[in-house]
Formats: sequence, C-alpha cells, structure tokens
Amino acid sequence: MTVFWLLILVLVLLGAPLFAIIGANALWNFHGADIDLQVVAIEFFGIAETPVLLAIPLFTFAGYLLSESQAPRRLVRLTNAMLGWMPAGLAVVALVACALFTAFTGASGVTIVALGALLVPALGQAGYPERFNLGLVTTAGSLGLLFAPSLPLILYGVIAEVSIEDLFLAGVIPGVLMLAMLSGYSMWKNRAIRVPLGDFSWREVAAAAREAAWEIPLPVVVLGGIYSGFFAISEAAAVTALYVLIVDLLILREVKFRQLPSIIRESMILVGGIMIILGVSRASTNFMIDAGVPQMLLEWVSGFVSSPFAFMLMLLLFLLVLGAILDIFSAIVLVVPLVLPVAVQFGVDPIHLGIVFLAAMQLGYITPPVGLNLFIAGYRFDRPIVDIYLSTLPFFAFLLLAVVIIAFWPGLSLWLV
Amino acid sequence: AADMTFKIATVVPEGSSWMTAMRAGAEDIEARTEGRVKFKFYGGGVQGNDAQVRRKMRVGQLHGGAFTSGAMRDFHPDMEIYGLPLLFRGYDEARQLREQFDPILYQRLEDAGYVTFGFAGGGFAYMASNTRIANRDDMEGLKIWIPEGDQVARAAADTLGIAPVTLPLTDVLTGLQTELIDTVMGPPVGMIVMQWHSTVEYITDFPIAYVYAGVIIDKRHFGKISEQDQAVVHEVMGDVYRGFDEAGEKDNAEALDALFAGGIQRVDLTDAEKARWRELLEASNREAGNRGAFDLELLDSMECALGAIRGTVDAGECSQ
Amino acid sequence: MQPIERTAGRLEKAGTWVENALLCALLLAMIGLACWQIFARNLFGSTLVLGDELLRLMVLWLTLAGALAASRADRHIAIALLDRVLDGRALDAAKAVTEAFTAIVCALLAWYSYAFVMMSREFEDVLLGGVPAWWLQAPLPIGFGLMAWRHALHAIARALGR
Ligand code: NA
Ligand code: NA
Repeated sequence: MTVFWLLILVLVLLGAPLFAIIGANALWNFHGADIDLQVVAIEFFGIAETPVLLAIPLFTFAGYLLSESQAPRRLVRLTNAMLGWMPAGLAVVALVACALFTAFTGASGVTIVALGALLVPALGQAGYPERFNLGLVTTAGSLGLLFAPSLPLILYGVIAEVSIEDLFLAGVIPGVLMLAMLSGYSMWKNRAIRVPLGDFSWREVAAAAREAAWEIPLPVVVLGGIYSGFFAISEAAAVTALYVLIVDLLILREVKFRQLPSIIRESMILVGGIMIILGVSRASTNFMIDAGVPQMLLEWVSGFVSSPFAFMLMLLLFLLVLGAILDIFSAIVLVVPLVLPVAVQFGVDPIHLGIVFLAAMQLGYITPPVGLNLFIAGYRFDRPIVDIYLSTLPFFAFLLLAVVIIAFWPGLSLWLV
Repeated sequence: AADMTFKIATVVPEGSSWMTAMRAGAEDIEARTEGRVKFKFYGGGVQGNDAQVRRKMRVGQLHGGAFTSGAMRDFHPDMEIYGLPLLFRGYDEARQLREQFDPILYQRLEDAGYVTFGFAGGGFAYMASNTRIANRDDMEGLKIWIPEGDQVARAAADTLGIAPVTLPLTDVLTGLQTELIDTVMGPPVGMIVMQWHSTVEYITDFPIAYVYAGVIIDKRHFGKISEQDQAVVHEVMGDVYRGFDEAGEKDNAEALDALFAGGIQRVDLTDAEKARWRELLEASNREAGNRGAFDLELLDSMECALGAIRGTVDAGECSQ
Repeated sequence: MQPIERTAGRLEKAGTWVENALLCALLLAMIGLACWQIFARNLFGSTLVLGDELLRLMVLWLTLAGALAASRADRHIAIALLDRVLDGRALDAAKAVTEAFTAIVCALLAWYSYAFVMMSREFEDVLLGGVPAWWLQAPLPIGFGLMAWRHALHAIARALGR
C-alpha cells in the first residue's frame, strides 16, 4: 500500500506523464475496492457524452492558427496606437495585448512564444530595463486566463457543471483588476526612467484598425454570438475556427496550406494531452465519489474550519501550493470535483469559486520553481532560469495581492453575473 | 444468502423529497432485515447519465438505478410504452390502463433480468420553450431537445418535420444555459427539480406524454439476498413507490400552477390544432412501432382497452 | 542491424504520416460538420439529426489521436522535478523507468477498454441511431494500445541509451 504511493511519488518526480499517474491511481483504487476495472474505460468514454468539450479543440486550433499568422504583430500595433501614449505605455500595451491573445490561446505558453518575440526587443529599444521586460512578458503570458473564451474557463464550467456564459461574465472585472494592478506597477516602476511618452494619433489608430480589420470582428462574433443567444459556446468555437481558417489561409494568405498539418498537429498534441488527463481524472473522481470521499472531506474540513472566511483562507493557501505543483488543466479536472461540494457547504458561490480557482492557478504559471511560463521564457529568451525567477518576483507579488482581493470580495466576480 | 449493500444511482438531485423518501425506505429495510440489506444512493447524476449508469450496472460497480420511463426502455423496449405521445387523454385513463397493464410490464422486465418495485407516475410532459409554440409551424427553426437514443421521440420529430437536438438528460440544463437547445419537454415537477424552468419563458398547455419512473435492480445482485429479505425490500420499496405514484398527479398539477404563477407564460392550443397534433403523433407512434421501438401487439391491446375505457369499443372484444 | 533500423525508420515515418492525416481529417471534419449544423438550422430549419452525437464521438477520437501524437513527441503534461537535475546515464535510466511505467498503464487501459468494447458488443448497444456502438468505441483500445507500444519503444530506446 504505502510502497505503491511512494513508487507513484517517485514516478511523478521523475517526470512520468500525469495521465499515466492518474490512470494508475484510478486502476489501483478500483482494484482495491474490488470493482471491475472496465469502469475506467466507461468513465473515459464519457468524453464522448459531454457536449461542451467540442469547444476545446476548436478554440485551441483557432488560437494556434492565429499565432502563426501576422495577427500578433497587428494586435500589438493596434494596442500601441490606442494605449501607447500613456506613461509606460508600451508596458501597458504588452500587458493588454498578451491578455487578449491569451484569452484565445488558452494560456498554453503560445502567448510568450508569439508575442514575446515582438515585445521584448521593442521594450528594450524603448529604454525599459531588461529584467523588467523579461518579468513583464513572462507574467503576461498567462494574463487573460479569466477572459472569454479561455480554455480553463470552459473546462471549469464543464467540470463544475455551471453556466459557462456566467463564468465568462464573472471573469471580466477580476481580469481587469489584475491588468490594472500590473499596469499601475509598471507605470510606477518606470517613473524614474525617462521613457518618452508616446504620441497619440487618430491616423495611426485608423491605420492599425484597418490593418487588423479581419481580426477585430472575432471577439464580436464570439461574445456577441454567445450573449445574443445566437450561438452555443461550441458553435461559437466552430465559427471561430472556420473564420480564422478562411481569413488566414484564403484571404490574407499568411499561413500556407502546407503549414496546416503541423499547426493542427501541434494544437491537437495540447488538446490530446489535456483531454486524456480529463478522461482518466473522470475515473479517479468516480472512485472518490463511489467511496464517499467528498463527504469525508467536508467532515474533515468542518472539524477545524468554521467560518466562511477561514475556509476561504485555507482554500487560497491550498490553491497556491497546488498551482505551484500542478498545471491548470490537471488541477481543474482533479481537484474541482472534490473542492466544489465542500466550498458550496461553506457558502461559496460555484462561479466565484471558479474565478478564485483560475486566478490562483494563474499565479502558478510564474511560481518558482516549476511554473510553466518560467521555463518557456527561459527557453525562448535563452536566459538562465534564475534570472527569470528574479525578474518575475515583483509581478508575482502584485498578482498575489489581486488574487487575495478576488478571493475575499465575491462581489467583484458576481457583479456582472 | 449474504449481506448486501445495494448501490443505486439517479439523476434526481440530492436533498429532493424523492431522495428523502428513498433514504427513509432504506432505513426501514435496514432495520427490518437487521442490517443485512443496506442501500447507498448516489444522487444528482454523480455516477453519470443513464447510459453510464446502465454500463456500470453491467460490470457490477452499481447494482441499480432510478430511471425515468425514457431510460427504462434500454432495459426492455416496452418499458416506455405508456410514454407514447398523446396515448392518454388524462390521469383517469392512465390510472385505469396501468392497473391492467403494469403487471405485464413488470413481468417482461423480470424476464429480461431486472427487478422493479413499481412505476411512479410523474405527470404529463409539457413543451417548454424560449418562444411561443401555438402550432406546428412555430416549431420551425427551434433547437428542440429529445433524449439521446429515444426512437419514439425521433419518429415524432420526423413526423412533425422538426430538427431535434439529442442530448443525455444530465446535459439538458447545461444545454439550455449554453443555448445548445431552446425547447424541452418534461413534466412540471421535473422541470423545477432539474431547474429547466429558470431558462424558459413559455409552456404550451397541452399534456403531450405520460412520464413515469422506477427503480431497476439487476437480478444477479438482488438474488444474493434471502427470499425473506427480498420480500421486505419489495414491500417497503413498493410502498414508497405507491406513495410517489399517488402524489405524482397532485404534485404536478401544483407545479404547473406554480410555473405559470412564477412568470412563465401559458400558451393555449386551439381544438383544431390539438386534433391535428393527435393525428400526426398517432401515426408517428405506429411508425416507431413498425421500426421495432416496442411491441406493436401490446400497443394494439392497450388501444383496445383505452377504447373500452372511453366507451368506443366493447371491452369483450379486447384480448390480452 | 542496419536493415532493421531502416525498416523501423520507415515505419516511424509512415506512422507519423497516418497520425497527421488522421488529426487533420478529424479536426477539419469537425469544423465542417459543426458549421454545417449551424448553417442548416438557420437556413433550412433542419440539421443532420445524428450530427451532434457524431461530433461528440469525434471529440473522443481526436483526444486519442492527439494523445497518441503527444506520446510520440514525448509531450505529455508532466510535473518533473528530478529529471531537470539528472543528466547522461542517470537521466536515461529515469526516463526508461517512467516510459516503461507509462507503457504498462496504457496497456492496462487498452485491455480494460477492450473488455468495455466487448461488453457493448455483447449487449448489442447502438449509437448514432443504429450503428453498433462497439465500432465507434473501438478507437479506445486501439488508441491506448498504440500508446502502450509507443511508450514501450521509448523505454527500450532509453534503456539502450539512445
Ligand atoms: Na461529473
Ligand atoms: Na455536463
């Protein structure tokens, strides 16, 4: 028994794929409970019986395709035309552009790769210190997780069985809060360095908007379509994928047909990686439900936590540790089914829980030592990982403050819902 | 004979009166069998949709489930026969016909390897939608939900010339919230329990189909307990289900009133429109039977018996 | 040795090609079918009745094909702490162990998926309004089986230090 769990721990640390770890855990537990192991396959097949999941491959593909086109450059130009005049304007531009892009690419590291290459040199030329630039781009690579139609929001909605449209709305103000706090820090930090204020020109805004004419309708189609009731979320995803495919391949021709297979392969490797974890997690969750673990967890937590405030504090600490260890997708599919019933008992709204969960997980992307963005940035900008750690620290502190505010002020998330 | 804990799953939410009554029945059984027979209920669909529960029953993870008439047909095709659209014209007919035909259905289920403790009528299903449906043409372009794998509903949709969206029952609320569907059919109590009522604006005041539910347990597992204990389970659960059955009519009438009082708009059909629907759906029921959805001979004898109840056929002419 | 390795290389190439073709066909078909459903519903007021169910099945197939591609490219999501400090023979040995473990788990998943599919066949389950369910579920054991094979190859290659 203990030997098995020690073995599993060693395998985790050695880098065995998480799906194999979770799958082994499910098989082992069902075997121990004398339940036919076919149950694991029955639960995995449940993927084919969950309608919203269709949105995940379609949005992911659209995001990857966009990042292969010139869309990132146009997005930066347009944001710059509109926000570049502000103090530390280019830094704000970087934050906003990354957030918007991440909403579409699902915080998979694609943002750092696609936008970092444009932003880091531009920030350097404009006179921002190098360490600041690295920290900014590394952090911004997961900003936007709370904005529709990000993948983690959809996945949380599927697992928690709450309205994804409500989640999309709930993410807006907390997401803007994070953006505003990081922008504020950037302005304050660079007040001493005489970065020249940019010019604002309507002509540049118009030119940038004209250049981005094909991308600007996208958020309108996706969000307008969903909130007018014209599209279901999975339908909006399908329309987005088709639209991006036609624009980038046939109209702008920025992506060649022969590139398509490798773009599809790359995006579906991510989708396959997430969804196989979802499949085996369904099985491990089912074991816990079968064994009544959520009730035991509730009793255990109630044993030493009595107020909703204390519960939220404990939850937050747990999520911060979790986010530092586990990637956001695995964390959602593994932990939400267990935490949700307990949180509801303590009066936490499932929508608010989702926003807190994702906000805390977003910190995990830049939490040393294992945050995903840290490694992607180290690799992409060819820097020692310690440099990246140090450069992100101040951003980490401000995001942490934002997460605390989001956690203890439910109204912030529930205002628009 | 051995001690046994029956693991029963259902999509009915935790905390509902149904769950409370079932748990009370289970406690009674545990006491009367001196702890030899226990029940463990999984509510709220945590064990998955009907198809998943059925698969888990096969491999023995679960021993049974509480199913609606639509899901019971997967255990024996004739189990949904009372639910044929517009078969009954009211509760009286349903009550009288069921007295005669329930034993036949229970026997067929038993022969297929399953035990049940009686069906509980859950009222009639009404059409609820985001738009006003006062005739067939109003259904044009709507995203109408029908249960996945429901051949009778498929046939009805084909006959009416509408494009349905198939979803498992557990995903209907999500489907309504994400606009994947905009029109559903269900009994008033079910609409409230499953929270569909929060997303619809109109209900067409025309009872379309009789809905009922029952617990089904795999005989392989039920047979593990002694015959005396089996009798106790039958007696207690039979009482629980008779209670549901008797309460069903009143509960649904009240629920429908509550829905209309709560701001959902009532849509009335003209008598001519009702007659037209009846004609269309009677044809589609036959068509589903021809496709093998259920035993047509059983439908024939039920229609004969209904004729006798309505006084249009001489009871002596009906055979069983 | 050489001809064997050449054959293995060709198999590898063919496998990748089939995988890519499958991923492209599935994803593009999904986009096409999902868009057609919207188009048809709004234009003719009717859709392919089985379209939505088929789309959900395609999500499962795409999951398996994508996971298989991730297995080939060694790109599955993992936590991994120790493998950053290990190198050379020690890293190879660690990788051989994790790959072998993954191969065993995939083989078990393949085996129990096979049992699941056979159960569907025995009970004559149908999906898509009449298609034997086990045909549509067969990608489960096949996908996990191929993943087991893939990770076993990785394990052997690592154990031999290649
Ligand atoms: Na679930
Ligand atoms: Na669901």
